[in-house]
Order: sequence, then structure tokens, then C-alpha cells
Amino acid sequence: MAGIDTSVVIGNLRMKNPVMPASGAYDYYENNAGLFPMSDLGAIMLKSIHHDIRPGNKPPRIAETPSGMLNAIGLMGPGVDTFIEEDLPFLKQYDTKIIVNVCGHCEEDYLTVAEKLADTCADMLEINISCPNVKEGGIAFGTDPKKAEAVTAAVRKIARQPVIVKLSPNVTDIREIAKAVESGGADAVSLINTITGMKIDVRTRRFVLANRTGGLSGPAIHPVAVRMVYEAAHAVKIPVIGMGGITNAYDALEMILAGASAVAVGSATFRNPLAAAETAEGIEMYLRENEIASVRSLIGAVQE
Amino acid sequence: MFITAKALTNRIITPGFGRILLSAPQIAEQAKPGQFVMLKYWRGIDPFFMRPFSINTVDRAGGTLGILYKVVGQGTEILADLSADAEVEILGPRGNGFPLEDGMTRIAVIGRGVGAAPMRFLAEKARSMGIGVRAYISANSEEHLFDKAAYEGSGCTFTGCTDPNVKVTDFFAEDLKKMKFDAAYVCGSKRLMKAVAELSDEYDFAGYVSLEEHMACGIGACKGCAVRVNTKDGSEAYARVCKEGPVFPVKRIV
Ligand SMILES: Cc1cc2nc3c(=O)[nH]c(=O)nc-3n(C[C@H](O)[C@H](O)[C@H](O)COP(=O)(O)OP(=O)(O)OC[C@H]3O[C@@H](n4cnc5c(N)ncnc54)[C@H](O)[C@@H]3O)c2cc1C
Ligand SMILES: Cc1cc2nc3c(=O)[nH]c(=O)nc-3n(C[C@H](O)[C@H](O)[C@H](O)COP(=O)(O)O)c2cc1C
Ligand code: FES
Repeated sequence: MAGIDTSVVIGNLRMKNPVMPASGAYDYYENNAGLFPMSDLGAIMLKSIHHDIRPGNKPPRIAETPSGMLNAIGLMGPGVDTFIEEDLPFLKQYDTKIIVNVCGHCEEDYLTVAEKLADTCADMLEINISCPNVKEGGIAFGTDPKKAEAVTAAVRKIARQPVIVKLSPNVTDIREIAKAVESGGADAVSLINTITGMKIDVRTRRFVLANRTGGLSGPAIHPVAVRMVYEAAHAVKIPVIGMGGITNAYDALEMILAGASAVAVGSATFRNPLAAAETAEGIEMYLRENEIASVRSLIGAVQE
Repeated sequence: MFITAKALTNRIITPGFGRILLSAPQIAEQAKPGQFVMLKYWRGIDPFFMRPFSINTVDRAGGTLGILYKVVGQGTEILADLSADAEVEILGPRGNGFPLEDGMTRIAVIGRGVGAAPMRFLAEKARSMGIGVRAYISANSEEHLFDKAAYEGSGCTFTGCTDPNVKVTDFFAEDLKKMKFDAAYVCGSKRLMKAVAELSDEYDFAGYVSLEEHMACGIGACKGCAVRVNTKDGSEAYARVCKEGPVFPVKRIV
């Protein structure tokens, strides 16, 4: 079957395929291992950017868990000015879309970053209202529908690009938050961020992470993510970007069937640096093998 | 580089410690002393992370990499059980190696136990450049002085120390009184690192340390492998062991 269409649309952005690296899980902008061209992916979601430079948390910052990991990186990053000066020009040369993840401790922080990004080549903003790691950080916005709506509306007013709001799974009802940010004017939602966890070393009787708690990610959280993507997709009309434990095309297609218009691959990249590229390739193969003309026809297409 | 290689041999050399030899010509060609590789040699998603290992030996002509390992948990237990012709995924070589310059006349390599693994590759490389090498290696017992014969075979002066009450750097300190060293390289123990940092205040040589930290990606992406580094103004700053390291000037850490 010729003419397989893998493209999807988020906001006003058409992506050549639905696969991206998840924020913070693979800094393509440092072109780390140079293992495959960034242009193989529909877009790249970059690590959270603050208004200022962030040293990150004290180590240990990561721990392996059954089929996954805990992280408490503490949003280590260069700050928006350095990012615009040094990283964006480098990224611009690649034939892919650039999604900049924005973080802050208070509404003004988000607005400062969104304002500075307004005239850059960033194609979209992803607003991280959900990172559970920074003590005074985004968590307050992500778990309270009113605050989530307010910060979305405030950023929406300033941003020149479409705005994705990234949701925290650490809430009682994901539908409520998804609806709240939709009312705030979000162009899309992405989920899930990591699930807050903890690990204790029984031999030393100490916390494994210096931060005590960390965010759980990887295949261990995939079924939770699929359920939440499904719920969010049924609660809102805006597109949903699904992530959480995707390791291959099958996991990604599961998200798409649950209602995701696009997907992001995070932790899986650490154990297989080709995971995102292989996922994109695998989706195309699945479409070909099943004679499905467009991946868009699979969005939310799960049946009883 | 991310490749699938074949193991050529894998054997336990003394209870709890093994050596694996991998056929990986492309990586052997590029590898520099002090660099490491991320390995995966099991199917499925548990354990989740690849495992970092220093490069212990490189044979460019033969296209092989040697790893010296200690069995400490699930990942290294699987490694010890790996059959000789197993497939191993290798991401590497990664990180910055030990700085080694042509004009050097004498260096010290210092390490403890299996932590001294990268020192053999460094020592052999230095010898091939005509640099004099003194190796100061400590271990719990004589059979844990793993590469003793190799150091001696490549013309290094080898000092082994298995006495828990003696620091192997004391021998280095004695030699410093008698001869000039251009650089000292240390790994495998915080205690040894501190001693080298102190000696580098007193004598004029460049000190380098190779660090270990838990790693998820090994390529600078996750920012999980952070270590605190010194800054001029004392402000809080971290470097990634996998990307800015694993080798650091010892003064940047101590
Ligand atoms: C740059 C570098 C070079 C290394 N070189 C060698 C070497 O040449 N020979 C050797 O035997 N070991 C080396 N290590 C340590 C080796 O990576 C660990 O012993 C190994 O990962 C333990 O895995 P496990 O599953 O057996 O242990 P577990 O304790 O079950 O592992 C659980 C988690 O902790 C991590 N971990 C445990 N100990 C360490 C450690 N010391 N350093 C980093 N991560 C650790 C594991 O990778 C895994 O993610 C090196 C580590 C680093 C960072
Ligand atoms: C090491 C690490 C760092 C992360 N950093 C960020 C971040 O800076 N901003 C953010 O919004 N999400 C961050 N995340 C969350 C991921 O983008 C993703 O939502 C989550 O890990 C679930 O996907 P996964 O199971 O595929 O990893 C991070 C995750 C990991 C594992
Ligand atoms: S292990 Fe991921 S940044 Fe070093």
C-alpha cells in the first residue's frame, strides 16, 4: 500500500509523524550520541526551561525500579536566556518541530519564559504544571484545577505559539484538570508526567534519593498512563499527547487507540537510545501491514 | 556508537570477580583510556538500565575490549552467568578520558580493587608513548591485585598494597620526594582521591580522578549522574559524570 500518512496535527502544527522524545528524557539539543537524525521524529520536546539557571538536586538523583526508574533531577537547566542564545539556533537546523517545555515556581516565572520565547523559532510551548520534584515548584498548579486554569490562561495571553499543558498524574481525577486547562485556553494537553514514588535502602535504612521522593517513569507506569490518556481524551476536545512507559510502536499505538493524537518516548530511550526512532518506524510498518491509510484514523479508535 | 557485539570469553577469575572480552572493532578503534561503555546483555526490560563499565583493555589489532567486573547485584550476576558467545549491546565509548600528553616523562596510576580497572588501559597506553609509569594499587588481598602481571609486563613499576592499615598513596608520597611526576591519576576510592589532592598541593603535578555515579543514559541526557563540583564563588554546581567526566581534575572535586 503506497502513500501511508503518518502525519498528525496538534494545535496549528502538522508533525510528519506522531513520535517525540519526552521532556527531560533525551536532550536532543545537545545532540548527545548522534545516533539518528532528529529529523526522523515528528517533533522534539525539550527539557523544562526556567527563567534562571537551575543547578538541580543533590545526588543521588536516580534509582532503578522494577521495569522503570525514579528520578529527582530537580529540573537542572541553563535558564531561558542561555537556551535562546545557544541551544535554539542549533536546533533550528533540523527538519523537525521544536516544543519548548516551560517551568516555574510562580505564575510570573512561567510568563517571563513564555514572553522571552515569543519571538523565537520555538514552534510550541509545553507548560509543565506537574513536575513533582522541585519543592516550591509546579506541583501546586498541577493538582488544583483553579490554579491550573489560571496559569494556563495567563500563559495563553502572552504566548505567540500554541500551548500544550502537561498534566500531573498525581491527582484524584485527571478529567477535572484536563477540562480546567481546556477552559483556560490550552491548545492541547500532554500526559502523564511521572508518578511520585519513594525508595528506601533496607541495608542502610536510608532514602535512596537525596530528595527522598522521585518521579516514577518507564514501563511500570504504562497502564496507568493509558488509562489516564483515555479519560482525558474523553473529557476534552483538544488533542491529547500521550506518554508514560512507551518503549516501542505497540505501546505507542496503544496510547493512540486510547485517544492520543501524538506520543512521547521518555525513559525507554535510556536503555535503548534508538527507542523513539524505532517507535516512529514501527508505527509506519504497522499501518502498512494492516493497510491503514492514515494514523489519524486510529486516534481513539479502541473498541469494546 | 551503539552496536551489538559478541562476547569472545567470559570467566570468573576469583570468586565474585570476572573478565569479559568483547569483539567490538569499531569501539576498540576509538576508545581512549578512562572512557567507559554502557552494556546490556539480557532480554526484556528488567533490569531497566544499561550498566556502565570502564574499559580495562583494548586490543586495536584484534578489535577487542576487555572489562574487569565485580559481582555486586542483579546486573553483574547476569554478567557473570553470560555464556562465552553471548550478544552484548554496547553504547560507547563514552565520556572524557584521562589527559595524556606526549611530552610527559613519568606518571602515577593509583587505584583500589576493581575500581582500578581503567588504570591498566591508561598505563599500557602511556608505556606505548614511552612515558614512565608507576602503578600504586591496593586491594583486600593478593588475588585482588588484578592486573599486576600486565603492569609489570608492560614495563610499569608496580606497588601493590594489601595491608588495610597502610594507604597505597604513602608509597607514592615517598617516591614524590625522590622523583618528578607530570601527573597522577586516581580512582576506586574517596580516601585515595583525597590523598592525591593533598599531595598535589605539596608537589607540582596534575591530579586527575575518575568517578562513578549511578547512570540511566550514559550520554548526558538524563542529568541523573550528577556530582558536586567546586566553583570559584562556592555556589552550588553539578557536573555529569557521563558527559563532563568520568575523569575530572582532582581539584574540581575535592
Ligand atoms: C563510569 C563507571 C565505570 C565503572 N566501571 C566499572 C568496572 O570497570 N568494573 C566494575 O565491576 N564496575 C564498574 N562500575 C560499577 C558498575 O557499573 C556497577 O557495579 C554495576 O552497575 C552494578 O550493577 P548491579 O545490577 O550488579 O548492581 P545493583 O546494585 O543491583 O544495581 C542497581 C542500580 O545501581 C547501579 N549501581 C550500583 N553500583 C554502582 C556503582 N558503583 N556505580 C554506578 N552505578 C552503580 C546499577 O547500575 C543499577 O542501576 C562502573 C561505574 C561507572 C559509573
Ligand atoms: C530523567 C527524567 C527527567 C525528566 N525531566 C522532565 C522535565 O524536565 N520536564 C517535564 O515536563 N517532564 C520531565 N520528565 C517526565 C517525562 O517527560 C515523562 O512525562 C515521564 O517520564 C513519563 O514518560 P516515560 O515513562 O516514557 O519516561 C522527566 C523524566 C525523566 C525520567
Ligand atoms: S547518566 Fe544520564 S546524564 Fe549521565
